Amino acid sequence: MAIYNPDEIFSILDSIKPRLNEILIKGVESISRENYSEITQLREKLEYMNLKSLNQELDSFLVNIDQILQAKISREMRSSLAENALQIITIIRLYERMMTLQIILNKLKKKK
Amino acid sequence: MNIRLEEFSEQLKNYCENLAYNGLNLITQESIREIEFFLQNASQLEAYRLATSLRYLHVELKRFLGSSAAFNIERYVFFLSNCWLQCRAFITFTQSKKKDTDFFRSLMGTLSESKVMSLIILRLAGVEKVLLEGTMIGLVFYLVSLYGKTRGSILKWNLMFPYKKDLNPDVMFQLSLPNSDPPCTVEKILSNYFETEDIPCAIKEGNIFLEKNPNSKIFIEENSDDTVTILKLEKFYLDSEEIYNKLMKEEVTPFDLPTIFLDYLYIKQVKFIDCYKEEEKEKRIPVFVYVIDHEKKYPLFIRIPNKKINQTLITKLNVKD
Repeated sequence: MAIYNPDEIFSILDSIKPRLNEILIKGVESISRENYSEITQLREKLEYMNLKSLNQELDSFLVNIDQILQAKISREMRSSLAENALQIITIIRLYERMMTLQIILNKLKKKK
Repeated sequence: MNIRLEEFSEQLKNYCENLAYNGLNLITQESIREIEFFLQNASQLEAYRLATSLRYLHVELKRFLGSSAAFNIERYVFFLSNCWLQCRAFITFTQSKKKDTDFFRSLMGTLSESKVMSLIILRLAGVEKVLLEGTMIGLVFYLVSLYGKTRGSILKWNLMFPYKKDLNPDVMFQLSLPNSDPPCTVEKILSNYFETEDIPCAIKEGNIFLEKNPNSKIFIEENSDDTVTILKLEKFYLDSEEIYNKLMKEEVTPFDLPTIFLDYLYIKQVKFIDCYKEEEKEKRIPVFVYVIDHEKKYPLFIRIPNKKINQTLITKLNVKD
């Protein structure tokens, strides 16, 4: 299994967060094709990193956004999309925390 | 109670999802009143952890509606997702057949049963000023215990009061300290060691909380001239391993004082490579910036606001005004 530099993962997570924050401030219906392709590109970068739950949630989010852009959204889909967005934020927080702990732990091991 | 909690959690979860879907375009005073209603319900249900997240969400939404420069997107999103996540946890808990009471207590943010400590000697390590608009106002003291079983632990002491228009946390430093001997103001805690007698303590997630008790006494040591709290900490073995253990036990966010507090702890282990004063027109209080050399390739910046409480620390760190 390939080992990725935490800085690389942090940098992608840091790129996803402001885009999601913007969506949560402006509302999901403000999403444009440009936003969609930006998130798709970030999703592609994550493809080979072992962040399974985040990738799955982003896939589902992108499918729902695509439906919005085609104006095919139902009430259920609205709820699901909001859930997707909040779930992605939660997963990112979890990954960030796990990686921070791992970095500190590695430092402590080196000291010993 | 569980049925009510489940209904309440469902309603709040939907509210959060609507906010996430619509963004802040549709926010009105009505939305603020709704969140105040949720806040009251969370307090009645004694879901303290959720109530705390709701308070912060309430503050941020009010700031947004008032076009305040203090509105912070990341903070808003953080507490919105916190509320949503906790609601989901409550719903999962109430629907599960096997009830884990420890998990439920942790979700609710309930303190363990308190024990009265006969004597604790304490030293201040940090102060958080709390101003929850329309709700509460006060100070949270972070103290290092220097004696007995709690030695080396961080204790939190809340001095909170109902919100009053003319009262601000700075004024509270001038209020008299209850049951103090000799009688003194709260400000004395900033620069003196002190002892408490018969004070109840409760433990929550590795933190020790000191609780209010009219019978507790506080003795101030008059002759302590050392006012640099942070440098004293080294003596009490708060090293990076202990910091790691703390991080393992509790969620540390960029908005919590403990994060800043941990940064302070790191300061004493590192080498300063630069320091300067940063003054922005929008910010009323200038900030001293310390550029620090550490193991990473990039420098670490730590900002200390130029406030009275930080003066001795700033002077000791040799930063010229």
